[in-house]
Amino acid sequence: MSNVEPDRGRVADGRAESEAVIQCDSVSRVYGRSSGWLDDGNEVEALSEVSLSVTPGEFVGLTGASGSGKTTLLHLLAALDTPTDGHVRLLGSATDDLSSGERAALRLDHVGIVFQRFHLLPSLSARANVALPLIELGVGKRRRRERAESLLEEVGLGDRLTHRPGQLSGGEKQRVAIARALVNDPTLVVADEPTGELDTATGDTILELLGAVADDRSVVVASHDPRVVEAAGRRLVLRDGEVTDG
Amino acid sequence: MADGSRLARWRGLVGVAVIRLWGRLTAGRRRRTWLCVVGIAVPVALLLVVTSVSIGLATGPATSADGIDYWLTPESNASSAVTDVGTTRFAGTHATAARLSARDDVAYASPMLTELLAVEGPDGGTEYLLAVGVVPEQGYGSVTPVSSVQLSPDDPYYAGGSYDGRWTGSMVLSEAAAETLDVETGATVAPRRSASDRTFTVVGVSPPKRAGVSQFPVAVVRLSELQAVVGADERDAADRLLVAAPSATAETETALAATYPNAAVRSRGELLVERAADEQLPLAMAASALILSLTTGTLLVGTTFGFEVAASSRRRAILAAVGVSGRSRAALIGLETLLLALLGGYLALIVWAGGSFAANAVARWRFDTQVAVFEPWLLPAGVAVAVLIGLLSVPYLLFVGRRSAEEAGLG
Repeated sequence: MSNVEPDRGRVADGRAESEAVIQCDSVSRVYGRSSGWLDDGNEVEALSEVSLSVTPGEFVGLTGASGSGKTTLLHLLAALDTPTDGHVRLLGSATDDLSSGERAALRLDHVGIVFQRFHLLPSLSARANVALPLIELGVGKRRRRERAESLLEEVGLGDRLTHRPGQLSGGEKQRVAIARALVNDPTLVVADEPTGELDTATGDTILELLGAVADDRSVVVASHDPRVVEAAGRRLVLRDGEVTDG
Repeated sequence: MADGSRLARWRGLVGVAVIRLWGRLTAGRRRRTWLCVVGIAVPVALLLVVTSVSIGLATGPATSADGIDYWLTPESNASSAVTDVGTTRFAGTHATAARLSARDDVAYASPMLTELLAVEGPDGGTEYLLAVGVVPEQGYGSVTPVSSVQLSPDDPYYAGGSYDGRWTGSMVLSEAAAETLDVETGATVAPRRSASDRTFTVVGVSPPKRAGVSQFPVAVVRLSELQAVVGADERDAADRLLVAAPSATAETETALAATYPNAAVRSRGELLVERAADEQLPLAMAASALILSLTTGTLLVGTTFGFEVAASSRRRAILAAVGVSGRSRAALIGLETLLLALLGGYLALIVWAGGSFAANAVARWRFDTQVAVFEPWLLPAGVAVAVLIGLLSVPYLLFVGRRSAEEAGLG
């Protein structure tokens, strides 16, 4: 897929120190943990002591029952959230040491995210949705359009450039979301149940796209779908907040 | 990031803000968004209407006596140029006015007598008019509350003080007076206080020059004839002396001050100062309207658009998830608010035009004049106030936006 050169200077790229794109060391995530003297006793441990690493070019399939912590782990890997214990190092940067703004900058430069429910902005066209991260990168309008149109062509939506999400099918929306995830040429792509809301045929198309994406970057996909896990080069199983190689 | 890319980022954010606002106005919960626009437009429009009416009141004629430079009034009756019906009056006014008119530095001088007069119309009904008597002079037909140009110069009935000269009986009525008496030009009316059978003939009906005066039926007649009718002829009495002296000097003012003992001499400039002091009310009205519109507009936008901002937390979470910084997300809230304010400002101009038209229509119908004036600077001022409302709302909206940013909640 074609490249754009984002500004990668704001967050230290620590790959010189570590070969892993992602390194999780004894990561736990507890929801509802009290930070003061008032403790309501409703803590839920979504992840417990998870350690894993993802190397460049690796396609990891993450599976597990509902509530096993797949989405929580993906959010930690994508720097959308920080662990309550342990460390997640994304390209060498410990995400728990970063502010919310610094994590946003890290995502902008290095991470692409595909959600189960697409999460496209409804008032923007497919092209504008894809180009959104490039605005933050300060890319000019003409280059934004060219890049977004090129990616939409690649995912087979060259004839849907000006359509809004409300005018697209579920599979088309997910393809727009994948194009958006790739627009900043990320090092890591995480996808949460990318085929969860799609029929089988459309799901297959999305899997093919993700497989193509994994050719030149690391991809972590969480899914119940056995086809996703089969497509992945490495399989991880989450069970009761703990991860094992499948 | 280089300056060029920063500019590109801002341009991109403005574009997104425009598209998102357009989306809010045309789809989904558009009523709420339009409520925000109206929430800005209504207070700003009210501000503009009140301000234009205030300007209309403040910049009206300085007095009803156009062309007059000095007003001489008895001390106890010195505050008004026209409409007071005081008890202290000047005597020997025709002679005094003639003496003043003879000066090289005085172009025109006339006593003015104002009296409430009961008049019997052609149908036998009695109505009360505010009668004003002056010595008419060509070029000074505007010294009276309604134009008296239909009265030919001179005051023949005075006849050197004998009050037995030719009775012209000419009367100019205001439209309100003509309507009250139900008469037109050429009609004859009879004052009820006249000891003789003196009558007046309506020689003209003039629109009033000021809204306040037009509420009264006004009649303008020659001074000596009014004096004769109301019994002020014995001492040739009048309430004030009007003097036109466009090239007056200090000597002129000294001469005017010496005309009568205990007379107050007011120049046009002094009257304007007094008038300006009186007009603190419209100024205060405009200032109060500004504060009220800023307050109500800010509160309305804060609450209505605050709901909108809170409700769009998921969209901001999406922006955060794809790497859009908190600063850019805040900028989007600010830009959308300012665009909304601009739209409200432009809508306010339309509402203002309609409101002013309505206010003037009512004023024309009721007072036969217009009260709201169009000042071009009010156009940018209205938009600026709308933008100010938007700016004042932004901090609260950013606070709402910060409280409702939860990118980790995206599934």
